[in-house]
Amino acid sequence: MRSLLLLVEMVALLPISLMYPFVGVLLFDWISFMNPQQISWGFASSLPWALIAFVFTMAGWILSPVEPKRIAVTPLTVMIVLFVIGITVNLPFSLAPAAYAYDAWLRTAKIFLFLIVTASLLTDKHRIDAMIWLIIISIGYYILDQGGISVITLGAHKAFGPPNSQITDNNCFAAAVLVIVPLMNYLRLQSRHALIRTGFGLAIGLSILTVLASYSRGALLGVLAVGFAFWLKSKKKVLSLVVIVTGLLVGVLFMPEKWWERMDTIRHYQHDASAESRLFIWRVAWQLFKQHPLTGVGFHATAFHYVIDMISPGGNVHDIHSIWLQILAEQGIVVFCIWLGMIAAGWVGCRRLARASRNHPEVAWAADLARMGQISILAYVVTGTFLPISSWDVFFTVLVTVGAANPIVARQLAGQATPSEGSTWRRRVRPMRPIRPISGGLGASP
Amino acid sequence: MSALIYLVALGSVGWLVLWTIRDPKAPKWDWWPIDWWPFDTRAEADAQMQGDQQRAELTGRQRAVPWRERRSNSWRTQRVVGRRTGR
Repeated sequence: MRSLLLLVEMVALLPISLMYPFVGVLLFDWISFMNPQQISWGFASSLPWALIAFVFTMAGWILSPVEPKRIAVTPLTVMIVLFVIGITVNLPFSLAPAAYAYDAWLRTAKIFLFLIVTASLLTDKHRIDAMIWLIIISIGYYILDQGGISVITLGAHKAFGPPNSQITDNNCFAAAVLVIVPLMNYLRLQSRHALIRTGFGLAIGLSILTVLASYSRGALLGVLAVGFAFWLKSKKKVLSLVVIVTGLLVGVLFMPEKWWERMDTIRHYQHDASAESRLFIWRVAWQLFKQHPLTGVGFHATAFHYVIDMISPGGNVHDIHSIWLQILAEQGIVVFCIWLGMIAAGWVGCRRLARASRNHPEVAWAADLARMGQISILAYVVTGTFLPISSWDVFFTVLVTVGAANPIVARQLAGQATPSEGSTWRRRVRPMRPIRPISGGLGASP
Repeated sequence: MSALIYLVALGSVGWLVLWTIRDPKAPKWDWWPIDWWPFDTRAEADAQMQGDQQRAELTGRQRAVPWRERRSNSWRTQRVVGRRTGR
């Protein structure tokens, strides 16, 4: 049944992306972020939906007479291109088996190259909002599903992310939820409807509960960091402090005894197997980096025993649970600097946006977006310090989306139309002709 | 419950796509029955009201039709707008 529904949805929406390629961007990202085909359990689960959406998007973009064909050139997109070049140069030096390394490279290159398409088609505020909505719907499905089950089971259920994705693992899923909570708050602040604003308030509460229900200790630190950042960026400090502290207290008091036992192991991490394996793989990653400083050992090479054996014979295989060490050991110092540059460009983009929109009430939305974008980045770097999500597509899409707001705000403040206002369906809106007075009757002169 | 959420997610994406491509003022959108979009923002509502005000000035209406009353092609709107414009 789910397969059929997904098929109907895609068959209905894909042709639209030929006329409006941004719809194709939304569909591609939806397939990538939510993986709806993986939970459809039927014939639709084996179809290459992302590839189909990609083909329709590119065809629509090329054929569209009204969409701007210019590639968005910003510090972030330049860094993205350099990142793809960097991982391509490193590919032959990967220590993982060739086919495995190629698959991992292809997956990552596709994600990052599509970000260029996304950046180029994010031409107005309407599309930025649509992209943020899409991210929230995609991850929100799992928050509702997993968080809902956790509420029903009084916190006994451990929350997991989309199957076969970069955030399947409970720790990574919790980090993902923390990254999108600020975006939920952005839409809450912007929404026209009281119902939606209330809904987002509840959704943020459920999200925090879902993060706690992941039983991830790293995510607990992330919750505290995000809560602090929210308080720091809020305009009403006392009210926000009360809301954040109350929310967190309610959340942790809701969790059962076994959650507390799990969190208690933070104090005795030296005797915890999970923490020990993490420290072990960090040491291995650092040694691998020192042996291959320029090119790294390739994506997920530490998943193979012979790679671990080079440093510590007989050691267990693991993904490198830290974004910093993961990219450093897997791709070397050059790509690490480029990757760091992407995050820095995202952060600087947020600061520029906040500065540009200050004292301009007509672009107050951009100020909110900048503040929430910064909290998202903070959530990623804090939780990512303990997780292997260095090339997580949703986070980099958030960076691109917030970055795309800069030229839009600049144009808006300069009083210019956005490219899509001047070139897409919005152009077809004609001003209404004045109604000719009819009181003069038929004989009246025009 | 999971199936219901899946259905809601699918529906939301479809609705979002329509919101992305729709033009609330274009006559070709008159067929759309529900003039309530969960994705609408305050900034757009303000801009829409401002646009309506300008259009109202052009057409000689007394004031812009508030968004609640702007249910395109419905008998109610036609009555409201008709009453205002005297047509």
